[in-house]
Amino acid sequence: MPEYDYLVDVRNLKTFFYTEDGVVPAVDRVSLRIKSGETLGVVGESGCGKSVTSLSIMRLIQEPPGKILEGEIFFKGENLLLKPEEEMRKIRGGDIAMIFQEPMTSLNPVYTVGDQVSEAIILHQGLSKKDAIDKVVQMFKLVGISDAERRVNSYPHQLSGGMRQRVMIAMALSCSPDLLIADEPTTALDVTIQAQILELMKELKGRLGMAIILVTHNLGVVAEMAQNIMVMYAGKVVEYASARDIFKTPQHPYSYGLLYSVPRLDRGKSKEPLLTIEGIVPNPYNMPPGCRFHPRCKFRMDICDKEEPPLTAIENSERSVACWLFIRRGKQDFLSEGVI
Amino acid sequence: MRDYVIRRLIQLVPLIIIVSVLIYGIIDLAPGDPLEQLLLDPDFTMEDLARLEQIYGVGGPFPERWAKWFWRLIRYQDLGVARFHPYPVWDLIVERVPITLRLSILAMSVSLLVAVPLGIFSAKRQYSSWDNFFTGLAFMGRSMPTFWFGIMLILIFGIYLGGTPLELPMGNLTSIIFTEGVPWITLQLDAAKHLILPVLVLGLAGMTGWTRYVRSTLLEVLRMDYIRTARAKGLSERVVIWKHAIRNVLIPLITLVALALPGLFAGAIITETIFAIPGMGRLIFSAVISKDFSLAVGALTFLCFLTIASNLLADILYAVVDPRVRYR
Amino acid sequence: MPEVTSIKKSTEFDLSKEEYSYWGVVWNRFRRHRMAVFGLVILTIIVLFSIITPLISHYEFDTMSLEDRFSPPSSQFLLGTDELGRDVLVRLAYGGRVSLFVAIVASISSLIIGAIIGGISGFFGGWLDNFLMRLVDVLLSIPTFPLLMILAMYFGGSLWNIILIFAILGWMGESRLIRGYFLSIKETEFVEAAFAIGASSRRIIFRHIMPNTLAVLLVSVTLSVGGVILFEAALSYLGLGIQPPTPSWGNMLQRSMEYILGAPTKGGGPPWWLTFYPGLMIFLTALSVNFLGDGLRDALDPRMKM
Repeated sequence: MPEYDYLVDVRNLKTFFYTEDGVVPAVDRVSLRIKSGETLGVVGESGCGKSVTSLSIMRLIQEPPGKILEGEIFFKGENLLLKPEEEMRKIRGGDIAMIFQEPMTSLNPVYTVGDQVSEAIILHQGLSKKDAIDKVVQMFKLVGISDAERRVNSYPHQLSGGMRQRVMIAMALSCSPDLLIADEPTTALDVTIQAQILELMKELKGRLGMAIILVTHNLGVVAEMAQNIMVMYAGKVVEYASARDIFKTPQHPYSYGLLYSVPRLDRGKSKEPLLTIEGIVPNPYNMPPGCRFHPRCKFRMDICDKEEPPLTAIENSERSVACWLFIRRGKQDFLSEGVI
Repeated sequence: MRDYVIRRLIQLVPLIIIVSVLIYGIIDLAPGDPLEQLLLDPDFTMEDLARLEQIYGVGGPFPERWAKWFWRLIRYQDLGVARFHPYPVWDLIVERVPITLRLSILAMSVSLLVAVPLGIFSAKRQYSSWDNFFTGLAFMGRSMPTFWFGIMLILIFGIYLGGTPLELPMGNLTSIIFTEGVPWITLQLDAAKHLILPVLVLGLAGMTGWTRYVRSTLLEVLRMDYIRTARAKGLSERVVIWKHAIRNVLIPLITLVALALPGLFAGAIITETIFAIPGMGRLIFSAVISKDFSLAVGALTFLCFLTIASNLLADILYAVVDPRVRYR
Repeated sequence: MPEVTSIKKSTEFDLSKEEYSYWGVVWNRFRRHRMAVFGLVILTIIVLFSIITPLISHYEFDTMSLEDRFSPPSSQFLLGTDELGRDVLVRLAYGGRVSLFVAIVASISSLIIGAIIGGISGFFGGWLDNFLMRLVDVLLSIPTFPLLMILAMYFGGSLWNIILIFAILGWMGESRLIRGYFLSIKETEFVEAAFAIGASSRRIIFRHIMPNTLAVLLVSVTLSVGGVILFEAALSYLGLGIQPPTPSWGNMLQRSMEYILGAPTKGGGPPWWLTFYPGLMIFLTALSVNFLGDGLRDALDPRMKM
């Protein structure tokens, strides 16, 4: 087992989709790092590449049309992209588990939930069918499914959305993964159920201590759970910072727009109007030149549509931003000083 | 589950009534008087005629005639008397059904045995040259006039390959050259040989159609979220396809197969005519050719009920195999 | 990847591209569909063959030459002759005219019936919709081919009778299709907006809904031509379709059956050309129409594209 500083260390990941209508640069040179037990929030509008990033880590990109072109994905010091498919299968569901957005469609309608959860346990832990079912019952109790002994024999359509997401969580955690990738785990649920599921995830994280990649477009969700936050726009990382920093002093105009387009109770003078980000997400087949955000940016400069801003780190910090304005300003904090 | 079946059965009642009205309308449309020909029989008296006219409601209004016809049909299985056979239509049909049923079930089985593996194979290699090849074949099968296909097979296997080991019989269910004392196995082999070409011709449509169906449904299923979940669990591609995907493909296929039975009976009209097989299809053909109206419409009535019955069967099978319907 | 496919195309960077007109997009997609282009080419050849051959040939479809009965294909009779010494090639061309005419007219007629009934059903809804769709259910539970045979037996196999029979038995599937489209289009905002500004029903149907169903109709009529060709040939093959002496591909096949198993041909062997060529024409026509329909569907409705 090689030594490693980071549980997950993704470097310059590039995943493109080759469709009949053209090439989609869904993930374009994305890097991220997570230490054991940490939570990273990945935030952005739909289509920004956050789901593709997480599926790339699992190597679940359908090929064709998708293809991981370059980059390295180190997990526990080993590059997943170099692993043969068989070894990758041992990692999937074992060391790295995933929860998906749609609990309604993420479970196979023709098998009982007990069967589907026990599959992973049998595969990765080598338990017998009977022991595996006992473990499923345990897991169901852990994730707060009442009447667990009976529920293992239910079919997905007999459960509510919240229950199904609990089943998915039980499935993901059943083999005690080191990394849990949660792709919009609460988006499809009712607001009250959302809170319950988040609470459950927080509690389980405290108990089991796995690292989490939490993919969401909802800033409220990451604010509560994540230590670090990565903001993505059109397949690119635009800002990477600790949760505290990003909520206090967002540096990229897009991050700023995201933050201030959501009403918040903790912001003093609530008479301020909410901010909107003008325009729409760019056509993925035809990305704008230079900074991909420039057509929508209020601080657009001459250079912005000509050259792409590199992801630049603030000195002596973990924080980095990809914006010309930020670079020109000598990598200083600027948005918080009331420029807008 | 029981409630579901009962509900479906109740829903059938109006359908059966309307279908029977339509069929009786077709009977009514027939040129000529069905009783007239009976007078050709010297033993048939005018009293007999009057009695029959009473029974069938001749001269009465349409609803009355229909009601009498329908009552006789469900109470006595009376579909009238065939024109050129001195037998009741019902008996003629019942006698022929087993032959066509056997042919249809064989054709169905062969189609499925070809279609399921081939469809899966194609879907797993979407857009590969094998997939394109089978897509082309499927289009050809869909565009193939079955009778021409049959004749060409006869021409090849019956005539050009005549005298070689590949020779196949051109028609009938058995050879007539056998006398007594022939071992059972020889008779069976002979019968099987006679069935090869007819089953191939009758099964062609199912083979191509179901291959396409399995391919496209599997491709659709493989894009489902639960397949991604299964992969994310670390299951091998073999388990993903043969456990998680295949059941979702086969469930709708089962109903499709049940619904195909009436189509196979209709297809048997052509197949049995080409290969001179004395089943339902040939009965319908000879009835229509000899303008035997009561026999033709009687057979049509039978096929309508077969269609309704297989619809019901399809629904029930679906409920049995799909947990979403089973536990509602 | 749902995220990628769900992105709407923005027009911001794309306006310059020429493929932005609807039919331009359709044509571009169609062109790329190899099988569809193949189908179109074959079909064009068959149609041209049917129209032109009789104009330039020495023979009429009923020119008999008894001393040339059952001649195999040769330079004099390119595809051989039949039992009366008639030229098979010319008869195939005439048969093509008849078969294509029947298929096209019958398909369009049943499409019109289906569009009207489906349109009424989908547009007005309520009890009328219920009644019409139950009627469709009932008609669909009567097996088509035997019913075709019985109606052909009643009415006889003249050209127009056959067309009529196909028209009145072929509309059910299409009416369901059209009804579905009416229902879904009725819900869209632009039709609701038209209602809101007080447009009349007729105007909404013809100005707003019909143009949107055009694509479906085109595909449906194409595929149904293939179906009618096969069904008509099968009817003729059973002796119930178009009656001789008018040649159709089906009845040419039927006649050939009497001789295939042993007629005295010049040069010996069965007169295979009598059976082979008409069947091949039916097959090629149905195949090209199916290819064409499939390509059109993919080109007109990108949502169905896999």
